[in-house]
Amino acid sequence: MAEAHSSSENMLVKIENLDKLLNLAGDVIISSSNLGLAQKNLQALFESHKQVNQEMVDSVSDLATTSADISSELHHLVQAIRTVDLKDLSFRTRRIIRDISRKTGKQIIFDFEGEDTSIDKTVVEQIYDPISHQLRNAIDHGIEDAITRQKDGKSPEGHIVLRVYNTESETFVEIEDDGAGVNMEMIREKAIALGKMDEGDELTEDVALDVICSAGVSTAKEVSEVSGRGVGMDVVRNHISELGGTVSFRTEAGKGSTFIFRVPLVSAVNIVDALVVRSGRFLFGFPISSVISSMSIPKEEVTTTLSKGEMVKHLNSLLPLHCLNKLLDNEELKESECGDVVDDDGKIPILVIDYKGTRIALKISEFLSPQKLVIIPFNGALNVDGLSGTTVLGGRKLGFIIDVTSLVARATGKGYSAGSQAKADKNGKGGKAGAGLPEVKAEAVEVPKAGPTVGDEKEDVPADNVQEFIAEIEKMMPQLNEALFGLENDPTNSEQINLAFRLFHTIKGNLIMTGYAKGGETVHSVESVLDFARSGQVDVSPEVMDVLMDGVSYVEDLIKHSKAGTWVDAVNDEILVAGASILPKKEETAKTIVDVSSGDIRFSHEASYRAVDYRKQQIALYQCYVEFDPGKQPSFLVACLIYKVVSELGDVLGTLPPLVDIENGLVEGKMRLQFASGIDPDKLKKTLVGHLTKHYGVTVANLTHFG
Amino acid sequence: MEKDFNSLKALAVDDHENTRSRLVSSLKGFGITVVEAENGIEALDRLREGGIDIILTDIVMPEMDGFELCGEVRRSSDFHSLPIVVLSTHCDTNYIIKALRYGADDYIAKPFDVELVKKVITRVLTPVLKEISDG
Repeated sequence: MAEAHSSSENMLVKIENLDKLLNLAGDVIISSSNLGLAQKNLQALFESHKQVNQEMVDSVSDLATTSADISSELHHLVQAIRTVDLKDLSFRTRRIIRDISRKTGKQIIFDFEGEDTSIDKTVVEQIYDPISHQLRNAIDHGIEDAITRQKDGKSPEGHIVLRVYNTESETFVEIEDDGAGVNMEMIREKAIALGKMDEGDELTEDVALDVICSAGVSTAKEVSEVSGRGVGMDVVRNHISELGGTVSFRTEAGKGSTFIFRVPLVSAVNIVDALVVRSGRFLFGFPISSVISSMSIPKEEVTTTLSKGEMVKHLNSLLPLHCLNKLLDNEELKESECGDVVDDDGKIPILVIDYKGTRIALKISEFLSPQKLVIIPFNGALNVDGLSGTTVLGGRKLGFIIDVTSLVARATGKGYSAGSQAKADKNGKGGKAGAGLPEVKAEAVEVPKAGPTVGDEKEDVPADNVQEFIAEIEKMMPQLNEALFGLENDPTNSEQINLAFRLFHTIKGNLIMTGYAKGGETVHSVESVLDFARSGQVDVSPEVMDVLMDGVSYVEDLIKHSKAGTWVDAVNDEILVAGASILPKKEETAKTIVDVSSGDIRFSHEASYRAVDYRKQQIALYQCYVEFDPGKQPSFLVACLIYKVVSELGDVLGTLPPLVDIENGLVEGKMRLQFASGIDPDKLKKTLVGHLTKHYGVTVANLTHFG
Repeated sequence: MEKDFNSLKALAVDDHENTRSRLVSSLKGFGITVVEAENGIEALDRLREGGIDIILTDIVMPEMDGFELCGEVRRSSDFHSLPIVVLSTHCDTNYIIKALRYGADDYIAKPFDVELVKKVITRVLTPVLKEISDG
């Protein structure tokens, strides 16, 4: 869990919790000033050579109690602040189900139980990939096709339940399907083939899971598009074990399977209960949960075997004995070589630790007290295998926190554990997010095989701002999800259509602001579909819903990869094509721009009557030819604005290109206008040409009389 | 005649705090005093409070969008002649033309170019007819 978080991450915090935090801060201030007072009183007693009285002792002990209460309340509060409910996870999983169901043609009834469960935000993000993978597995390998199901007396639709709940110390995620169940006979054969068990042995759950998780082994008879090619379950298990959790399953032939992830509840500020020991001149904290026993044994009880080195007897078994400092094998740490340290009674202090059933004994120098320690994670610059971070002990001494997983792995010679390996990947630059889970539309990210290009194409947008805009998009996602699922149930609900339209529109805006032009383009096509739905030109059909849901998935991917610094801006062709196929075909209009300098300006019937009238009244008729540089605005807009300026000074009778062409964008940097005006010719010429030149990028302006 | 931006009061309308604050800080950078609103309805309230010289508005907003706001302003008796600049990520011809028809005086694409905003504000506040009468 000792993982550095990017400082730009945001989360929503309830005002109520912030208020509580403020109150607690107040309590801290009061208790610290009381402490100051007690210190003064003590000093006074000391200076006047008086005895410490009971009153004094009581007040200090009150202070200690209060301060302990505050610390514990603070800890719980910060933990609570970091937790979120699972509404968002629920939406995302429902979309996955929808998507797989569409791809496999299997009808699925999906229940998410435990939307209100509160889980640490980081953990929610971390369990998403394993959950999404397992849901795919469940539908693809678990749920049978409708015909088979009916033959077996089941309902044609498959049922999947995703259940998330907390116990005192763990979060449970259960993914239950009512499919065919895991074929244990096949697993058994594979286990034997892989040498994981002998012919006569009984297949244990652990071995079965090992087989299911073996890379390259798929229990599906045929490889399918949805859940990949037999890789996956191993990735799921690695992911969960990285969180300190475990994967298990139960299955019943013909009835279905349930896969269970158990993840320990994380403490928000990485506080561990640790046993502090000294080894050489260094202090180390061992998480109490991993410590089996601490003992001091006479030197003679250490046995040395030729093959396994030093061993020590613990309970009824012999454990390999390692010197902690040697095991850590760190240049810095090596300084204090590991001799046999003996305590006052001539005994060696030994610590026995356990990681998932593997026990080792460690020679140390001295046992110190157990205490609560705050882990300060290494920030990637320093990564010592066997240690998870540093901590500050009483007396402002620096200590190291032991990473039991990798320490035991080192001791048993199993190399890096899955957890530390994944950690190394994350710290390395260019590591792909999600530890290479193959699904969730990675294509869009991988199209230009250029690797991560953070900031390359968006020099003018500072990275901080990018994350700000991305964070804002992230905040909109729950609302967007809610609107879309609302719309799916009630496709004519114009309020939801409008809301979804606005959200997609804002997301597009933010993406463009961020410099993700292709992202903006992709979202624009989703927005267009909604725009037509808004005006009633398109019905919200299942096809339309597909585009909308794909749009959300695309944005979610973008958020995820942008935050990890691995987003490569690319359009999603699937969305563009699907979006375009839904939109009503535009009428083909002539796309040629008329020749402005030679063509005739044609008046409308009405305008020609007015022209006659102006001549009768001897009001001057003018022709104005302009060439302009529209700068950062579209040409047609500037042409329209010039039209408006001229029409303020007179009556515009006609233009070339005709106004209707201009409004369709068929104009390019030059136009001709004919108009009538009663203004003094010299004044008119001077003002009009001056105004257009100054404000509208006009480079050439000819004003002549006509008619 | 250059407008003195320091004496101007602009109304910035956008439902999105992030984008609105960018606009606001740009305007303030010009020395313009800024009043903010999150949508058309709020904008009308701010207008009724008086003193506004120019409106800069987003189009897509909840409650009342930019088109409707343009329409309401042009129909009102008190502030029908106020210059309105529309800012939007929609750069479709249809959208821009629609904004102009609803009464917008100018249009700026988002993300906006600060210099363009300055240029556009200057020109919408300088009606050609006034130049004629001023000589």
